[in-house]
Amino acid sequence: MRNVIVSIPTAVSGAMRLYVAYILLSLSPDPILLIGAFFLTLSIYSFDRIEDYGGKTYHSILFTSSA
Amino acid sequence: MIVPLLLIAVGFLYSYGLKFKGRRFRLKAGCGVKNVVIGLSWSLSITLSLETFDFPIFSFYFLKLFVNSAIFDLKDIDRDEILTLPKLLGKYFKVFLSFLNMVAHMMALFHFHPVLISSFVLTQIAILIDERKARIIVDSEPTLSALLCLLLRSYP
Repeated sequence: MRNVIVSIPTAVSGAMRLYVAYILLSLSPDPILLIGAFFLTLSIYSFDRIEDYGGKTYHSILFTSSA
Repeated sequence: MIVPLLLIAVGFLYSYGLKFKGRRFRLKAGCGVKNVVIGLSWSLSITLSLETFDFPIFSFYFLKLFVNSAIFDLKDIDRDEILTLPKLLGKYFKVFLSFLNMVAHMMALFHFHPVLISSFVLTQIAILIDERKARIIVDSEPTLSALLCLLLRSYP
C-alpha cells in the first residue's frame, strides 16, 4: 500500500503533463484520458517500486527522471 | 489502447531486449540512448493520446523529457558503468542541456501559452542547481504548470 501512496504525486504529474499538452493545443481536456493517464502512471510506478526499484523495469523509462 | 501497449513494448525492449542470432539487443545503452527512450516514451504517449499528431508538441515533450532525464545522470556519474552524457560531455554537459531546454521551448512557441515561461524557467533552474535538489523541481513542474493554466483560465 505504501508503494501506491508514494506513487500518487508521480501519477498526478503524469496526468498533468497530458493536461498541459491539451492547453497548449487549445483543446478541451478529456477527463477520461486524464484519469487514464493518472491510473496508468500510478499502476506502472507502483508495480515497479514493488518489483524492482533499482531501475531495471518500467520505472527506469518513465520515472527515473521525469514524472 | 495504443499508449499502454507502446509503454509495455518499450519497457520490455529496454529491460530485457531481444535476442537475435545469439546476441542480445537492449535499449538500455549509454551515450544518451536511455534519455532518448524516456523522451520518446513520454512524447509519443502524450501526442498519441491527443486527437491529432502535432509535431511541435511532440518535439517539445521529447526534448523536455530528454533534458529532465539527463539531469539525473549527473548524480550517478561516479557509479554509472556505461558511458553517460555527463561523462561524455564533461563541463559542457549543463550548457548542452540548457541549449536543448531552449530549443524545446522554442518548438512549443507555435502554441504559445504563458505556461511555457514557467516551464522553461523551472527546467533551467533544475539544470543549474545541485542535481539532488533538482528532483523536486522536475517532479513538481507539470503540476505547477497545470495549476498556472487553471489560474490563467480563471482570470482571463
